[in-house]
Amino acid sequence: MADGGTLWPDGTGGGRLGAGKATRQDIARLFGRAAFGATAADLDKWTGQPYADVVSYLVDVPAPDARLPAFDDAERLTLDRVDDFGQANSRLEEAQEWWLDRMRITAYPLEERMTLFWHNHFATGLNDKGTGVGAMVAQNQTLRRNALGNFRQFCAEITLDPAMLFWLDGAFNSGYAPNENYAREFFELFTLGKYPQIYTEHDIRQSARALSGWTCDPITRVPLFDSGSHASGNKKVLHRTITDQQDKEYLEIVDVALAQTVSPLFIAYKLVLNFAYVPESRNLLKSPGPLIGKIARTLRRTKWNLREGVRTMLLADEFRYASESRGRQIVRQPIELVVHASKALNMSARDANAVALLTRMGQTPFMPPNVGGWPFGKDWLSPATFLARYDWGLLAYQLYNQGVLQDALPAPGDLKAWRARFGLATLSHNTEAAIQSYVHSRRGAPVEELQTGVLALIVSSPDWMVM
Amino acid sequence: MSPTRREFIVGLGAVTGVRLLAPIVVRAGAGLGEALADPATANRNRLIVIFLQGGNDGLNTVIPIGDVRGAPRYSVYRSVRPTIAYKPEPTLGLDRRGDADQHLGLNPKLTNLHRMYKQNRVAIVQGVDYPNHSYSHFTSTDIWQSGQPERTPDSGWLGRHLDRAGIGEGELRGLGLGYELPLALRGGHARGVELQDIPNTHFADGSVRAAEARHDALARYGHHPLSEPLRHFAGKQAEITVGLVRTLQHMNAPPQLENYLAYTLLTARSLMERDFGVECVFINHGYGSYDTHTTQVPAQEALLTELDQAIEAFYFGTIAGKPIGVGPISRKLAARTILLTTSEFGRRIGENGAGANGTDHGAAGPLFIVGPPATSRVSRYRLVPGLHGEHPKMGTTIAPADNLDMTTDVRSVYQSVLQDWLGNPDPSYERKHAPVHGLFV
Repeated sequence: MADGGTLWPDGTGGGRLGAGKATRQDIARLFGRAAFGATAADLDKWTGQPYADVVSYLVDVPAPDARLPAFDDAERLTLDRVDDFGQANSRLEEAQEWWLDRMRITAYPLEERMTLFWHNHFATGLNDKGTGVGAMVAQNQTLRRNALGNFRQFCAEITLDPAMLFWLDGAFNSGYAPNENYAREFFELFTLGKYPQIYTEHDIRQSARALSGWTCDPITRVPLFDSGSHASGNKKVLHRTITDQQDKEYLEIVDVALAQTVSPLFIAYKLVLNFAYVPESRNLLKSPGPLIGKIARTLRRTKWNLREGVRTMLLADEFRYASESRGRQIVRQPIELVVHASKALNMSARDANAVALLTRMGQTPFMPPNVGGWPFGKDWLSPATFLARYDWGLLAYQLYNQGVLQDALPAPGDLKAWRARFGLATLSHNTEAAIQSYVHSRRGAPVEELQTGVLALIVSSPDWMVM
Repeated sequence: MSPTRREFIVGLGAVTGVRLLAPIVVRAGAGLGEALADPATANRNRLIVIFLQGGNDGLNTVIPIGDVRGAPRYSVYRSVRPTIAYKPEPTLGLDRRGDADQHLGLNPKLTNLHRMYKQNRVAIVQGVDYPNHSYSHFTSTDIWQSGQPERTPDSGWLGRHLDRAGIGEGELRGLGLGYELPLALRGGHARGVELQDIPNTHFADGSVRAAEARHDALARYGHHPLSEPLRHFAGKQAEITVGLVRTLQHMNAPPQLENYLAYTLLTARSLMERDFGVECVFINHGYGSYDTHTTQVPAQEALLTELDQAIEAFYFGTIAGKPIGVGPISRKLAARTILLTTSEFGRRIGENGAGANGTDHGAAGPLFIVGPPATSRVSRYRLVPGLHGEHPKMGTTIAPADNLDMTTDVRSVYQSVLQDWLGNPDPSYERKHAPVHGLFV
């Protein structure tokens, strides 16, 4: 076992799921990783509450279809309209800004964080094969509706999602000469992974046949099945024979993939990778490690209930105490950093420059680099992206000053107040010393200059980027 | 440590105690931000790798235009690619002595490469791949960039070169241009440095005194304790970034061009001409668009045009013959530089069916190496132009092959470049993967 036998900070051997009261550090880390960061109010409100209650607050949210629309849903619906392929750019910016600001203001931050997770998992991007802004915004709502739902249902929906049908050529897959693009990524990236790879080239080719026959019109965005271009006959996939069932065969492909032992382990691996730390295991069947094992067991027991899988992760000691016990931390994605800073400053992230800076940080919403999604871990931390993070701090101060000031920023040298404002429980000694030396070296300078500097230094600090 | 690798004080380092390793070297005091040359650079051979992301279709890049004895390549090619095969006539014949009997032609869009081929500056290695080929973009990209097909890749083939060269943290010997440092440039402990371009290697608050004080504080993040390894790493990146900004702040950038690859190659050229120590450059091209499952011909032609014109811009300072305001490459740099194209795989021999007009993921493919002018004799080894390696078998019209199988192991190509060009062979290749015979002499 990669990380067994640890004595946890509470003096136990761990295992009492979510026991005890939440500390300030618990809240800062939980929100920092799973909810676009804590605000000062979050820290004050939740510190001292039972940890399991905090997790429940994040996880137990009504399904999007079962609640009243939020005020920004109207804007989403106007963005989700017929695509005008000639002039998509301004709509793309509007859609990106709409989503970024939803991440900031939503009453359900974990759901939104999971929506971003799925955008990275089922990574789809604008393209000239038929996926326009409208199709991406519609897919975005599909991701949200299923974010904490049932993964089997999710896979079925995403397979026939119009944006996906164009992106991975499902709409161009004829049975005479099957196009393997979707089938391959469905196994490798969406359901089974390659730790270890249990499927063969034969399985991919047979699955491509089972998935053939679907088309989609980019204007109406209704998936249609054309049995004339479907590969007839039996298909053998992952040792299961799929008989000729025409437009139902894609459900069999989902079913056979999710029936594999490695499948819940792989989804658990992806969750840990995105919310906790980079797992060491290269063989999930042999040595998944305790956290991945726990999440996978929940997914299996609940027949793929994602809400319960996420709850298991957030409650687990291996998540809660990862950095204390093992020095394991996670590099937050640029979108999380930008949204968290907007929350701390209580200002809109709706600014074209902010989106442009996000692109320089390496993460443009609705435009992942490829179907593998965005990088993770150390790969977020290069000089190229670092510069943009610092510049975002400078820009954020300007945007904040242009807005209606609701509450003044702390005095430059009051790092305790800055820390609380930015939802951090602590600032490391080195970071604090660096910022204090800056404030000291510029003593007597105008307060705006110093506040700009402290803000830019906080959002460029190791403490902010890595949690 | 050699004098050029001495530790220098950054900016107001005398106050903050921040140090950086040369050759990202910055003088304290009056000369703040002024870069020093690494004199060793001028006498080093250089390498630029362009990675064609998505899996470039080799058969429509180096195209069969006739059958050869025992290998009806052209007949097979035409029969299994009814909608996407090229006819012989628009292709650019590979008709140098020794190549002509192979009956191959370059994609019609590769006019500059063809011209350089005629000038004896282009080598083409055929059928390059690795054993037990993976059809996954991600696995195969990792294998191409690591040169480690037989294990879980843990380092890049150029990253290990940087390890063996013993570079310091933040040293600019390996350079990635983009947002994310590619695996190719990640070593066991050494890493290349990733930059977007020259203008963006700049803080928005400039270099006024107020800003410099902040940047000094940023550089101090490099002292974050090792007990938090990821935060330590983030802090180091901050420190390295400050050093880069100060080093590059007075550099002129190439003009912005519609052809982004050309712009990126010219950025590499500017940095290499300044002797900052840059030796290996890695650039991605195409962001996955070489993955032509559908409507392949126009998509690939657009990409190959961009590639071809970018190489033209790099060497000659022109695009489609028109000057772009940068002039040709310096003779000194041209004599020391080779440019290598790679991709995660080639594509299937046959196209994938009615309406799609594309190809699925395949196996082996050709790669290009562009070298110094044929008259140049600066480097100890010389690139031998023309075709290298065997063309993979394609079967017959009755029984066409599905895939092109490897005829040259990519590790042999890497070992050629490492041993004969960079002078630093990879010991793990030494016995089994000798350099490609006759590629460098």
